[in-house]
This record gives sequence, C-alpha cells and structure tokens, in this order.
Amino acid sequence: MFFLVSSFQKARKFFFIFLMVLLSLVILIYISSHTPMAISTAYAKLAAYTEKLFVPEHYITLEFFRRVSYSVYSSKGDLIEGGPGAQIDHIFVVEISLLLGIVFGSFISALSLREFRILKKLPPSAQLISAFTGGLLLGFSSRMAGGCNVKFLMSGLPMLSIQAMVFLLGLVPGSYIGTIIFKKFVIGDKVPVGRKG
Amino acid sequence: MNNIILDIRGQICPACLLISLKELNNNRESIKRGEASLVVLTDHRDATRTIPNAVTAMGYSVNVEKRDGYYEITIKKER
Repeated sequence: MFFLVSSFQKARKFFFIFLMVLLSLVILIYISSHTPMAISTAYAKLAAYTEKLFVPEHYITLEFFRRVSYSVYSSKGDLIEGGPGAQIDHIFVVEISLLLGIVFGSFISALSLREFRILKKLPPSAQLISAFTGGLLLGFSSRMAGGCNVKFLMSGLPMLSIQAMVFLLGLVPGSYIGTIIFKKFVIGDKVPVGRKG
Repeated sequence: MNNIILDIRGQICPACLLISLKELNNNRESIKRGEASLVVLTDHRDATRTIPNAVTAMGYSVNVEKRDGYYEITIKKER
C-alpha cells in the first residue's frame, strides 16, 4: 500500500478535524462539569489507591491526599469537590474516565489500523532512562503546578487563563533545554537540522 | 543499489526522527550520489509524517509503505 504526498495532506485535514472535535470536547466538559479537561490528578489518585491498599498506615499520614483541588459551585448551587485522595469524587468521575478512555481508544485505533502488537524489543537503555526521568519530572512538576499540559495547554489556554500563560512561560524554555539534552546525551552528536533547499 | 536498513521498531518520537537523520547524515555522500538508499523500519506511525517532512525539506525523495505491523520508509537521492 502506497501513500504519498496527497495522503499526508489528507492527514493534515484529518488533524484539523481532530482539533475541532477536541475543542468541542473541552467546551462540553467545561459546561457539563464546571471544570476544565484534566488528567494528571488521576495519576495521583491511582497512587493514592495503591498506597491505601499496601501501606494504609502511611497513607493516612499524608496531607497531600486529604487536599481538595477542585471546589466549584454548579449552576444549581451544589458544591462540587474533588482531590487526589483515594475516594470517589468529582476528579474520579472526570479524570479516571478520561484516562480509561485514552487507553481504550488507543487500543481500538491500533486494532483497526492493524498496528497492535506485543513489544518484543525494548528501545536502547539511554532512551528508556531519559523517558523514565522525563516522566518522573513531569509527574512531580505537574503536582507542583496543580496540573499538566492537558489542563493548562489544551483546556486553559483556549480559555485565556492567566495560569495557563504562566505555565507556558515555564514549559517553552523547559522543552528547549530538554531537546538540547536529549540530542546531546541520548541520540549523540552530529544530528543534522532539516533545512529547506 | 545498496540498501542501508535502519530497524528502529519499538522506539518512539522524537528518537525515530533524530536517529534517522543521524543515520542519513552518516551516509550522506553515498545516498546523494545515488549509490545507496536508507530504509527505515518503524512501528511508530508519527514517524511516517515527521521523517518524510524533514528529509523532503533536505532535498531527498521519500516513499512510505505499510508492511505487516510496521512501516517501511525509503529515503533516496532526489529524482
């Protein structure tokens, strides 16, 4: 099966449709739940459930899991609350469902494109270490900022939130430095830059 | 013609693009003369967009084919 330049243009058109669908979803989630689309508190929630299961005596000592990170009033005047702790609340309904939806959607997409397979060979260890370190930094910093790029870039920025713009001020130089480190230490030197002509 | 096979199955972006560009740069002379072509095997679909975009801008011709469970990206000298 050949797909040349024309199908890449089709892919771009598809990407535009995807962006429109995403924007509609963000607005829909905001109107229905009074909170922006977000996901990273769900990771903290998963950690809370794991910790509560295995070391419950340590879990109850942590102030973080007792926090309330969402507290909004619905249009009917009801108080909607949620936090990273191991309980079913607003965050559980909105974020855990999004998390499951991403995994399930990716699985269906991979099946339909016949791309699904069990990974036989792992990437080189330098890539594994950098991915793990990056994930750790991302998880840690998203708890410090109170959200990750899903909440701030995909949801916050289209709503012109000030927090999202502050987040962007940290994200852009961080990505720039990350790219330099990745090119130098993970890929190795002599990576040419694509140029026109 | 000599086919240089680069099997990067299991790797994801941005490593796919950068490793392909590095391999392309290492074999630049023979590919530019038309003596060799670089064949990248990848199972990361994003790479079928990023690699052709970058190498076309660098003046190579590129062809993407879907194989069983992966993609084959062939980079040659410009026709």
